[in-house]
Amino acid sequence: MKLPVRIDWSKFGLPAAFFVMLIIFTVINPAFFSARNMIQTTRQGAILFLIVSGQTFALLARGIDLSQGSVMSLVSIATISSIYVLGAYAGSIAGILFGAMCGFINGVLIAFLGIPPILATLGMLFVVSGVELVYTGGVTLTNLSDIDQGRLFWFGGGMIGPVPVPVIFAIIIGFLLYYILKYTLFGRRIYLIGTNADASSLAGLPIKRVIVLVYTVSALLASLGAFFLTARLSMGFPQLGEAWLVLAIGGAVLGGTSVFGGKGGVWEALLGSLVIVFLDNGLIVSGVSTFAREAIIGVVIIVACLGSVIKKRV
Amino acid sequence: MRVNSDSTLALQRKTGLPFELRAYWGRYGTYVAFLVILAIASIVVPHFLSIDNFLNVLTTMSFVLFVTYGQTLVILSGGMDLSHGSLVSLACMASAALAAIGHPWLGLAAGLGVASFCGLISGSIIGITRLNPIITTLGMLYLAGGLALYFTNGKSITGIDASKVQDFHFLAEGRILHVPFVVILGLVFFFLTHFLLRHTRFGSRIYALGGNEEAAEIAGINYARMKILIFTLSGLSCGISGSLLAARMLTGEPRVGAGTFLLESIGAVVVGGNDIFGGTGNVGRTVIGLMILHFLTNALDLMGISTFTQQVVVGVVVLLFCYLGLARNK
Repeated sequence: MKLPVRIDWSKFGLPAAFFVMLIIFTVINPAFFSARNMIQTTRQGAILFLIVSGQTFALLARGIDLSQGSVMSLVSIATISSIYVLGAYAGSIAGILFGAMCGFINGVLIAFLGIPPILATLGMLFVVSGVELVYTGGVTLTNLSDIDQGRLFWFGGGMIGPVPVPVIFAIIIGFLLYYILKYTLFGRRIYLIGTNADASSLAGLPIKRVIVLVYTVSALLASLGAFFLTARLSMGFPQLGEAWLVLAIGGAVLGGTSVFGGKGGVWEALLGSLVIVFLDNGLIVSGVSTFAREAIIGVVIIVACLGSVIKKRV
Repeated sequence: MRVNSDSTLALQRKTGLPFELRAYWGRYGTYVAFLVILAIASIVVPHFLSIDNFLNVLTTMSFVLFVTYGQTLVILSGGMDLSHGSLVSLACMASAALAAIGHPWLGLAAGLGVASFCGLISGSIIGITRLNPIITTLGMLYLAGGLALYFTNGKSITGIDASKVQDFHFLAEGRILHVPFVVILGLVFFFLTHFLLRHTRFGSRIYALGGNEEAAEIAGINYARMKILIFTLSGLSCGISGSLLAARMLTGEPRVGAGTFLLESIGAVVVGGNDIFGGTGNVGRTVIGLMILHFLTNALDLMGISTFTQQVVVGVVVLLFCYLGLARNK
């Protein structure tokens, strides 16, 4: 049967699959499509979108950021600890800056010491997680004063009208990132460096500066994601970020950002995040156990990447 | 395969140590570092320089050693295997499960088989579809990790009757002439791996792939077959570690691989002085690398420093050796 219109599956494949998935989950359990569930899921989606966007920056520059998970855990602890001392608002900013600093270190390791991104961020993964384990001894941080807790919670759990607060932030930041990637020198340089670093270097681009910024941004975005998560929990969770790393990479690649750099962006990040977050939620609502979910998401990521690789070849 | 390296190639040309230092460090740096650490530790740390302590460290090290053999093969061929932690956990669970119902040797086979099978899958995906090894093995990490937790819903497998599985337990805890069996096993596999790399065509093909993938393929090396074999062996090495851990603990611990296994397996290869992009190096260097990491943490332990701080130190050391190793190569 020939369709009257030629459909470009590489562009519409994923969104189509997304809607099909939503339909299937709603059929399995109508509660999936309830307003409450949808709003909850977009809250998670906003957070994942921030982290995936960060990973996208690293991927675009033909790198990768494996430290995002640990940075998130660190930020969770750092934020709550800082709030003890500085109060809700200043403490939050301090915590987020802590995370951005880790990204800065990543950037320096990669740009100035020449360590390959996989190794640098893998090493930082362990260093950062070690540091925060040393600091907390593995213990969750609670005990915020009521005022602080109230102020903090709004960021993660509050709503502006029908929309969760993190979603609003994510939308604003998303537009900002889109603008940066598409219309600023910095953004365009990232694509250039990701496509061909040697040529860029010969052409005189300040590669080191750009790379340091890229990884700082990546960690900063992951920190923001962690901040909103922590805000909602109102606790410092030493293992917060563990599960998010694979979701970040998976979401970025799923959406269409290439691991080899130069291809992808904010739209892809958004698409990938939404698919992952609704998939995860759908599985929960359908009663699938946590561990099976982990396995399924791993499979989905591999299958989706396979799909894009095969598509390129055929 | 140059994974994610091109953006840093332009940067790497500008970094490095002065030439003479570079040359010496390149060949002997790792060994020197190892001896220096041993020397300092012997002086500074009480109880470090004793046969008991050394045997202890070697024993603990042996459980991770097998995993590093597999990682060495993968890295020398130009790839990287991030799934090691979960494959070890999965193998441990499989072995423990069968041992618990009275079939320890089937358990051993199951552990080896399951992990090798996962490696086979990773290798097939990487070899046939040419998907990036990082993404593939990362996916496998979560897939296998999830599976390891799934079958028992996150709980450990206990209740293995020690009296019934004495031979199996001996694998991990027994001694022959005072030397722990695992250490002997580790040594045996060291020679096997070394032989594989140095004296077989398979081994030379591994080096070829790592050195220049395109040239290797043009020269006729079957990329798919090599990758499948390499990752299967990598999985097998995890299976050995996992099964031995099950034999030692007599429990199936689904998160046993989740700690520093991955850092140690890659870290050992890198610290030992093998080129992270492949093509140069040998398994002896990996062993030294792992010894450096383990003796270092042992010294810190004896000084009373917490495990968490040790993790930070290990991470920093790995990064440091990365930098020095790269500086050496330019």
